[in-house]
Amino acid sequence: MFKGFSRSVIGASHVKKGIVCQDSSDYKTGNGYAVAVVADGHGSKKHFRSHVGSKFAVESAIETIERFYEDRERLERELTENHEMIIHNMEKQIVAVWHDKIMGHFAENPVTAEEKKQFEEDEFNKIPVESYYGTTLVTAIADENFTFGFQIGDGSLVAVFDDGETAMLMDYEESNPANITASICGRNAASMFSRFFVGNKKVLAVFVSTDGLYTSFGKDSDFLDYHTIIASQLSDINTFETSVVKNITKRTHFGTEDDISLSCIYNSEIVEEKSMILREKILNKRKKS
Amino acid sequence: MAEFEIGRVVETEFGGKAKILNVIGKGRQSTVYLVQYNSMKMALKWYDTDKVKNLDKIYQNIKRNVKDGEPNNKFLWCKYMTKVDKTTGAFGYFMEVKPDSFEYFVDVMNGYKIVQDSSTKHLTKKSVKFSNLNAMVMAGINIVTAFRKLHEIGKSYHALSDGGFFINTDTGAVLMSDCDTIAPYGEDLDINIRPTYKAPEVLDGGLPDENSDLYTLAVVLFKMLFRGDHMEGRKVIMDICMNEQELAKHYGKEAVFIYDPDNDSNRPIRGIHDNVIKFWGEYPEYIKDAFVRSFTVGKKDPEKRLSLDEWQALFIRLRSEILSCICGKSHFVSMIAKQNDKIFKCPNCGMEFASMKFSNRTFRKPLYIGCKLFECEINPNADDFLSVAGELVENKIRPGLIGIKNCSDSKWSVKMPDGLFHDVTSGKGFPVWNGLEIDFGKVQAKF
Repeated sequence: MFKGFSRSVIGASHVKKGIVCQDSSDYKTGNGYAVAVVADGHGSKKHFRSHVGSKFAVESAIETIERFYEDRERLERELTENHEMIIHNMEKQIVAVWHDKIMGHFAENPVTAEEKKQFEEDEFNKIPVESYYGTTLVTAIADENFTFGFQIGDGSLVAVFDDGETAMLMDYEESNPANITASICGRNAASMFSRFFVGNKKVLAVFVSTDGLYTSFGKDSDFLDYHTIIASQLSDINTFETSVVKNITKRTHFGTEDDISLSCIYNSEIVEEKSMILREKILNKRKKS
Repeated sequence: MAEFEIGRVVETEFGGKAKILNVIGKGRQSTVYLVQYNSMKMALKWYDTDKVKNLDKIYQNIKRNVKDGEPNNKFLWCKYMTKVDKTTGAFGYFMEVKPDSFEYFVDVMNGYKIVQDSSTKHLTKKSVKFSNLNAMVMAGINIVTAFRKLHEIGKSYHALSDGGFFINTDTGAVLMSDCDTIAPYGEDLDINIRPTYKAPEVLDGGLPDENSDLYTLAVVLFKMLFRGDHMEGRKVIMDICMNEQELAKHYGKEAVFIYDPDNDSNRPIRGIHDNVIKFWGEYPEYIKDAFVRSFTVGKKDPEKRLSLDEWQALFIRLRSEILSCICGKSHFVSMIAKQNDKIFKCPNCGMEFASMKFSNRTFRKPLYIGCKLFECEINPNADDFLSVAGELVENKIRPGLIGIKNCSDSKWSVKMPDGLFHDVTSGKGFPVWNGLEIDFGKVQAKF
C-alpha cells in the first residue's frame, strides 16, 4: 500500500525579503500507485505570480496522472512497451492543463496596479502572461510494477529501492542541456522535460524536492545519504514527519536559503520489510567513515 | 538483435567486404552503421528481424530499388545489398553517408541538435536553423522536386519518417533518405511506422500511391515551414493515447487539422505548439490556404490535394516575395507593411525597397541587392526552378548605382533611361531606373 508525505517550507532569504513561499508540493495515493510532486515558482521580478503558478503545476500533474490511471490495467500494460510516448503525453497534458489554469486565473484576476508598478510600461508589455506564473515541476510516480517520473527545470528526484540502492534518476544537467533553464512557462515547454522509467525494480520510496534542498548539501553523496536516512525512518511516519519538517526548515538557512519542498511516496509494506537493510547500510557507512 | 561489434566484417551480396566502424543511429526496426567499404565510407542499414513484419517484401523491394537505381542524385539511395544471414534471415543494404553539412530534418524542426563535446563528453544544445528565408524556401522547392523525380518513375514513399531526409540549412539543398520505404504505386510494404506522415486512406488500409504521397509531401512541407505537427492540437493532447495504434486515429478517421476553419476543437496549445502558433501568424494567406485545403478537403478526397505543380508555384511565389534587407533581417513581404502599392519597408530598420510588376502574376517582387530572377519566373514554360536568370547588383566602380545583370542565355529587350528599348545579352547589365521596363520574351516586367 502506498502512502505519502509532502511539505513546503519558506526559505530564509524569502523571509528576510518579506516575500511569500514560491514553492508548492503535494502527493496523492491511488489504487496501486502514488504520485509525488513539487514545484518551485521562479520568484524573480517578471514571475510575480509564480507562487500561484507552482500551485497550479502541482495540481495539473496530479490531475493528469489520475486521469491516466483511470484505466490502470491498460496503462500498466502499455507503459512497459511505450513508456517514452506515454510519459511524454503526460507531460504535454500537464502543460495544457497548467495553461488552462493560469489563463483562467489571469482572466479572473487581471494584473493589479500594485503588481505592475515595478515595471516600465514597455518592459511589462514584453512579458508573456505565462511568465507571470513561471515555475519548475518535478513529478514521481510509484506503481507496484515500476517507477517513473519527469521534470522540467531544476529540482531533484531520488528513489530508494527495496535492495537498499539510493539513486538520483534525473539530474539538473540532463534536464538542461547547454544550460538552458527549462520552465513550464517557456516556449515549447513540453519539449524541455527530462524523464526516466524503471521497470525492473521494486521501489521502497521516491522523494522529489525543489533545489533548495539539494543546494543545502555540499556533495551529491551527502544528499543521497540524507535520503537513505529519512527513508529508513518511514516505518514511523509521525516521527518521520516531525523530524523531516524540522530538518528542512533548518536547511532553508543553508546554501541558497531558498524555499524547500519535499514530497515523498512510499510502499508501506516494503518499508516494513526492508527498513532494516537501509539501517544497516547507514551503519556500515558510518563505520567506514 | 544484438548490435554488431566494431570491426566486424559484413559481406555485400556479391562478396565485397565492409568493416563496421561505429553506430550512426538506431531506429525501431534497424540500426545504421558507418562502414569502411574498399576506400569509401558508407552507411549500412541492418534490419532487426524480430521487429520487421514483412522481411521478405522489404528485401525484394530494396533489391528492386538497387537494380532500378536512384531517381537523381538527391536521394541517399540503396546501393548494394548485404548477404542474408543464414541463421536469422537478417540483411541490410549500403547507402552513401550523409555529408556533415546536412542536418537531420528532425533537428531542423526542433531548431537544435544535441551534440557531445569530444573532450568533456558533455551534451550541449547547438542551434540548427536556416541561414535565411531563401535557404528555407529553396529546401521546399528541392523537396517538391525530389517528389517529382520519384513520381516520374512511378514510385512513392510508403513510410517516410522524421529521419527521412536531410537539409543543408545554408543552401536549402535536400537529400532524401528512407529509400528502403520507396516502392511502386499500389504495392503493400506494410511498414509499421509512426502515423504522422501517412495519408488517412493509407492508415485506413489503402495502398500508397501518387495521391497519398502528395499528402505526405504536404505534411513534410508543413513541418518544415511551421516546425510543428499538423494534427496535434488540444483534441489530441487531451486524449489518452497509450500506443501508436490509438494515436493513428487522430491522423486518420478522426483527424482534425489544427487550423481547420470549420472545427476549432484541435487548436494548438501554447507551451506545446509555440512554433506553429508563431509561424501561422507570419506566412501569407496563400500558403496557409494550401495547407487548409491539404488537411481538410484534401484529407478526405485525395483528388483535391495540391499537385506538385501547385506546390512548386506556391514556393516559387514565396521565394520571389522574400525581402532581404541590408540590416541582416529577411521577411516575406506578406509580413510587412507597404509604404504604398509599390514600396516595401523593412520592419526592422525602416529601409524602403522598390518592387517590380510582372505581366504573368498579380503580386510584386521586391528588389534588393542580391535578389535573383529565376528562369521559371521569366519563362512560364521553364521546368527549371533553380537556374538564376538575373540578379540585382551594385556597380563595383560606382557604389550606389544599382543594375540588373542578365545571367540567362537569352537576349532581353530593356527600356533604358534614354526612353528607347535596347537589347541586353547574356552577361550584360542595365541600370534600375524609374521607367525601367524589361521584355524577357514571354514575360514582361515594369519597375
